Amino acid sequence: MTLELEALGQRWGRTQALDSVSLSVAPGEILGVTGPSGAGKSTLCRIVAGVQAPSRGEVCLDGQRVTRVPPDRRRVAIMFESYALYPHLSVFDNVAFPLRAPGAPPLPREALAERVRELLRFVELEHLEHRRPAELSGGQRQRVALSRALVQDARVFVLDEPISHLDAKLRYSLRGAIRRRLAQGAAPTIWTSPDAAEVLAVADRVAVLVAGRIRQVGTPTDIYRRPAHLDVARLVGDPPLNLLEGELVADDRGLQFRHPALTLSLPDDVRQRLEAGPASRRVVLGLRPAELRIGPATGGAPARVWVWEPLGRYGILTVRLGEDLVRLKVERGRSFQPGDPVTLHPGSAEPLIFDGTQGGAL
Amino acid sequence: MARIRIEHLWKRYGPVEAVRDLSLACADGLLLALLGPSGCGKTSTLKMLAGIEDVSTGAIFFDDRPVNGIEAAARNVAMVFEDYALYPHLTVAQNIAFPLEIRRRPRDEIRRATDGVIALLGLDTLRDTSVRALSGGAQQRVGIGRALVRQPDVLLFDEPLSHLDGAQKSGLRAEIKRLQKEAGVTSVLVTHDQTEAMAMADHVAVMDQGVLQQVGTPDDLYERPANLFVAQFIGEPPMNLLPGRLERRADGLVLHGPIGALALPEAAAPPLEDRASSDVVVGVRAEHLRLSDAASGSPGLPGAVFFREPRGDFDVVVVQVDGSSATPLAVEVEPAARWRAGDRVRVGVADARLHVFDSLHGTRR
Repeated sequence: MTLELEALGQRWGRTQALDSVSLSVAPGEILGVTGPSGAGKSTLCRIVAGVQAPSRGEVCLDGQRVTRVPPDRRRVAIMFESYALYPHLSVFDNVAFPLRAPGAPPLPREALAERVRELLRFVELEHLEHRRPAELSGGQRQRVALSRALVQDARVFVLDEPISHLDAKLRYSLRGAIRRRLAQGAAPTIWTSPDAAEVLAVADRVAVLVAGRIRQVGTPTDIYRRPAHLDVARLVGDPPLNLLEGELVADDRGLQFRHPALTLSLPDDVRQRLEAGPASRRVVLGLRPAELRIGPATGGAPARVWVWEPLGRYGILTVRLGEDLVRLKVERGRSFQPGDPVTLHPGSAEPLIFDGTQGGAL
Repeated sequence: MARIRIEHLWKRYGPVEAVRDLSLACADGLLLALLGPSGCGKTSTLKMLAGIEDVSTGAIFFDDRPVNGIEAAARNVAMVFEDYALYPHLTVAQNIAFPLEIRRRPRDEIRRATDGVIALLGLDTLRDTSVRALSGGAQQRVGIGRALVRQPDVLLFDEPLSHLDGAQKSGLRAEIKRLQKEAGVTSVLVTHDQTEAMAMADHVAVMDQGVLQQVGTPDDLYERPANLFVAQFIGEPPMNLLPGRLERRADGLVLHGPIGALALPEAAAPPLEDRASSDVVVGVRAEHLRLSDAASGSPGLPGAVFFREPRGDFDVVVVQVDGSSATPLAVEVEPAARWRAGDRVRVGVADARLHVFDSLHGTRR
């Protein structure tokens, strides 16, 4: 089964919740969708599931338009961000609900119970099957909603923030288990989260949605290594890319990036690419926290320690560089005090440069 | 400013023991984090510090002054809440000034204190903005400003970042730490998020089911977890735990367990020697395991790559060891490493920094 979304648009009065969103998801593929709250992630999910009709555009399954097919005939399993559990039903009956719905293939009682319990074991809730939703914690309710989606023999899975309210350890183990389970089937999956790191860890490809528009679609490596827009750069990475505003200046030494506290000569290939591109001289330079170094006093930019956050494996050092704060990932075994003078050395990696007005990568 | 000392503190709600015999201290001007999953007793402890909940037994001291019997309003404690709890109809400056207004402080004192806090927080351009118009991160900065304006002896943070997403969270985390250091106010942070606790606190107290598991610097907790609970709670991905029996062989030390026989680095041997032939759980972090090709003949447990998680600066490869139904092993690799789901591999131990726990009690040995 292949899922295709063609130029989806959704308008609420004057608000454009989705604007020309086109995506395709291959059989067995997980497409992650991330973006800040209000980006349109849930609207997208509701349109795919058929609980909402788009203002424009089409939803296609294996080339067939299903945009106007009602949800009960689409066989799209959706897990709502709000869970939408039935308060009067037990955990077991909530999960069994889609299997008993009119139109679902009839299942013998034993087989149905086995399937429901298999899912409850999967989300580690088998001991709570008799409880009502009101007797569960938020994280437990989220797991019931997740099993109610995964229990279905669906053509498409839509998981709207499936694990965001679980504790870190369960989130980690469950996302791997869900990924593995989905990979065994042939249904395309859409998985959303405001936490970019979660979808980058779990998805085959990721779409970054900002204010209803797709800013970038790519593999997790693409998104991490080559963010296509400042909006993507701000959302991705922990800590995210350092973004310094400055300008491009060409002189006899070649092309340079100039910031009040840092000057960087750009390599020839970058220079050639930039000179071919738009003429805007105002740019934003992206520096990766893991590639910046603290080094000898010569050949770098002077900065001062602002704060040091030890995280075990490594730490995050924030320094003040001119008026900007710059973050570095530093291997453990060091410690820094606020106010310490340090010298910042840009790493050897290719610098990322963005258009200062439009935000696109140059 | 004040030192905080907690002695043999208990909190009971009917038959439920929320906090059990907790003793802890926080030096003047430092930040102590109370870290643990829900139900661990961290919030009950915070409420007893604030004076919102009574102490069942035990004592709390600010400096050497017992505060058990002192009501919340008289403790000079300020609190920063998870959901900001701002007055939506007021501006930034009015929200920050509020605690002084209700105490009917002189007008020029209110003005001076409010201006000072606004400058400290870098909120100058937003001072007359309605708080409704602010992002979550900016609202929380106002919440912190409102707490600081009274110059409290103790500042309490209750999950201050949990309503923020990714980048806002890490930005404000650093900002709070910097502010706390600059203002030098003794602080207690309650959080369930180990990254937050490690990043912000001078000392972290890990709690589980009402009981203190370990207190130490962030590096202490990462490098010398006192028991299995702390070992699994601190660090991401969680530490790999391998139960088994250590055995001395001619060619080195070997762990025999349900997942097979795993050779341990020679450098790890001396401290492990005396535990040989006893039941243990060996903990190894993802960055201390190494993958090699199944066909390469290097030592290690045979298995298959289950899946791979790209993390940006490194990736985590999760391996299911052959014939084992135990939790798969997490191994950190360079983003350029070639392993893919389904690949046949061997998992070996690359680093001598192992953690050995008693298999019965879970305590570090």
